[in-house]
Amino acid sequence: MITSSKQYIGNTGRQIVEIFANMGFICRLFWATMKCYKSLAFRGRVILDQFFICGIQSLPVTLIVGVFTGMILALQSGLILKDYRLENYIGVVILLTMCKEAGPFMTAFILAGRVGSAMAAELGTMKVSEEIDALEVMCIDPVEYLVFPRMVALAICAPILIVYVNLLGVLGGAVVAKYQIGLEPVIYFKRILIYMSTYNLTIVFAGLFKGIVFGFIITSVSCAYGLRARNGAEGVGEAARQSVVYIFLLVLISNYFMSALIERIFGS
Amino acid sequence: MIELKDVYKTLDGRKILQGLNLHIREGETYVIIGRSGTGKSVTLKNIIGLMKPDSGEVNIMGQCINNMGKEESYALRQKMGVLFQSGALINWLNVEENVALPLVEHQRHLSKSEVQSIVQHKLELVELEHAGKRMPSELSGGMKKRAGLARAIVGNPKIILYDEPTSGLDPVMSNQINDLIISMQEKLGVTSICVTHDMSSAYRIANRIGMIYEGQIIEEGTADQIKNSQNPIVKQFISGSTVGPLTQ
Repeated sequence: MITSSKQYIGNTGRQIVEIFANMGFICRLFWATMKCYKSLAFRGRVILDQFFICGIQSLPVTLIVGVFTGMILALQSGLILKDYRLENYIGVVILLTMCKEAGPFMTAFILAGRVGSAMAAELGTMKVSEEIDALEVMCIDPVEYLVFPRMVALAICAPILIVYVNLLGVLGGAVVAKYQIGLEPVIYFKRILIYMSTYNLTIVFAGLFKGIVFGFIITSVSCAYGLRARNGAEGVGEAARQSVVYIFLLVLISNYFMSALIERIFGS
Repeated sequence: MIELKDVYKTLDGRKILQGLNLHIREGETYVIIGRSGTGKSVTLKNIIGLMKPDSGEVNIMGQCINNMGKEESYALRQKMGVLFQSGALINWLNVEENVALPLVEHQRHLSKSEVQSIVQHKLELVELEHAGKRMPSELSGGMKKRAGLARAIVGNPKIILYDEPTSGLDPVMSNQINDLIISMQEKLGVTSICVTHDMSSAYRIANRIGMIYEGQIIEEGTADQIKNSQNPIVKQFISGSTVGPLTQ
């Protein structure tokens, strides 16, 4: 009994130490990647390639998620607002929810699952097959060659994807508002336009800032786990799995703090 | 040329190198033999600078690399080429692009045609001039190693390190790789260090062979001296016998 308790405490302690070690490595990797800014022009072609892989190829799934998120929001909020005869404001509710929270959040989750896990697996495979060592031997910094282009590409394409998700969420919401709540699209969009022309929209577009931060988080975490992969195929799978878990957690936690900060600075 | 003095290295609590001493002369091909897990690849990584020893000294061309900064270390590594066990080709670049990679990254003043001409010459040296446009996934094991060798020599290194160059290859292909290693020494005058447990390869390419056991070089000499060694550990290893001190 005492032995198993000691083992449990020992294992827990090791896991905590490992989490801090991983966080430390992720922060160092992020900083090292930031310092590669001078190679921006030289890595232009690779950044474009990564932009295509991370952004363009993510469009179909991102758009589907955007439309259905808007539809769900419209259905749930519409039914409540209808009870209070406020259904004319469904569009505004969806616009704010999508731009502030749902758009950045859903995009980050899609990118974590689709791009983050692929990055961790790709770099992990390179690590276990000695390709990273080969780069080091050729005096090519793996951070500059592999991580930097991915981070730049994702930091650019995440906000763009968020705009698409937001737009499609609002459109999806309009469809549900029309056919399930009975609100004419003209009123739906008119209310959105009135809101946008009346109120300060900085807070709405602050959601795009979240996209850049999520792009940094996804790349840093997935590349960090990929670069530390060990033990062949099993290690690569483990790196991909763990990177997705950590990205989800970090996105969730950082999203709360960013939202609180944005509301404090720009909120009414 | 290359000197390791009393090098110790521990990995995951396991003592890998335990006071390793090694001296490799300029222009020779030195082969390190030993059982799997005895520290051959760790020795190689300490020479390349991918690992730092816990204690001891690693001197390459008169420079101690233990406390070298990144810039100095990179400058020294540009005088070395490494052939990895799997070839370690970048999987999204074709053979030509892989071979050209060090030039594209470090010699940015070279024009595309100059890079192309150097790459073609190196591919001819490894008899792979016809496969320049192929992707790594389309190459056989031997071709991958030859492409890896072309990339290793593209910067005209003074030292080439080979990590298990013949592992996983059929005997004919193994001999082709052995011939290439010999021709690199003859044509380019490089110092070579080869890690292997393929004894026929070791006898063929080595000027000197060193056997590593429990993190130390326990026997060193020419191929004939190793063949005639009276050390029971060396005798068992080169004969491949299952009975002896290595299996006790």
